[in-house]
Amino acid sequence: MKRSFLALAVVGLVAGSARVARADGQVSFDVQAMAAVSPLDGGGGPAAHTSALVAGTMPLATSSSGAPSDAIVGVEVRPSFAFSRGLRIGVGFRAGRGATFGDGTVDTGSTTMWGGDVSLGLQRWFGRVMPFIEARFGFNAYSFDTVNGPSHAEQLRLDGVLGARLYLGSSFYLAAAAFGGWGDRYGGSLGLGWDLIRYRNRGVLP
Amino acid sequence: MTRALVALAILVGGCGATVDVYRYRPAPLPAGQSPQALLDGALRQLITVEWTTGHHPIPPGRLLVAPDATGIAGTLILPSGNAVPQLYVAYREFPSTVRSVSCFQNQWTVHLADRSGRSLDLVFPSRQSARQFLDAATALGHNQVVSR
Repeated sequence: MKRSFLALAVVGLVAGSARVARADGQVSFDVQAMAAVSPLDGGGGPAAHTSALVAGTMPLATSSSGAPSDAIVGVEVRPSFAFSRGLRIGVGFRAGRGATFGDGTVDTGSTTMWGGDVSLGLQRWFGRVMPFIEARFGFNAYSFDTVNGPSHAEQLRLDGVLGARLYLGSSFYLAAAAFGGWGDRYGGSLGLGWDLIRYRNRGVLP
Repeated sequence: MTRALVALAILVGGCGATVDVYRYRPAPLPAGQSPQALLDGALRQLITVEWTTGHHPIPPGRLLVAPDATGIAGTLILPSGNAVPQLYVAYREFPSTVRSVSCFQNQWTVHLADRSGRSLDLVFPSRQSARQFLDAATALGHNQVVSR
């Protein structure tokens, strides 16, 4: 027990003392837990392919109303690249499952989800904090059981994202973001990330 | 548990690689030194060469970089032993052909691009050898332009 406290103190000391060297560009990698309200039944997605649902192939494990799962939880991995002038681009991959149905009933695992997106945005350093805004365009793909057997549905999404990184060490950070738009109506994510490579513009070669 | 926390400490403390990127601005050579001799001396210190072929896949083999009277030639030595010319960066294209100079883990890389968009990265063991190469190549190019 004592050892653990000692090691924890070392972690705290290192985290507190590590310098956050500002980078002019960086390649980063985030791992985040996410949750979103993302209704499939015509939930405002720009091109939600809900024909399977409309045709009456309702999920087997549904709420009393028979509506499909409309909240999702999952894990995202998100590599990104930031340029020296604050521009950031990235890609994201997510996998998860349905969380609740439209009436609040818990989805016990009838719906699984995966998806991906590309993002474009801006970021800026303020000490250890780096807020960012970005737009993400991507899709969610759902699989669920119906009375007629397994079925699938896809949903495009276009989200505006507001988030921030809090650097705990020189290259290690806590990342949080909130998003909203079409497809994913609204949601949030929280996780950890690392700057794998950082670029610093040092001016003229001495 | 302790090992995991120590690993976390290392992670938090910093594991990201930092690459320093510089712009190149030519400087005069040391007095009395021949540009060609300085260029040859710098290229003898070359650690490695990285290159691209534009949109085409890189063929198997190794690239041999050698200076001649007007520029630096990159010749691909195929596994069969045949030599195929691949890249050519003329001295008179210096310094505009120099995209940047970067430093990572005490190795200095000169990033060059030829007119076809192919890149040639020359890795040197020190800042001095990278600068010596660049200044000598630039001086040779300047001498060629003047002699015309």
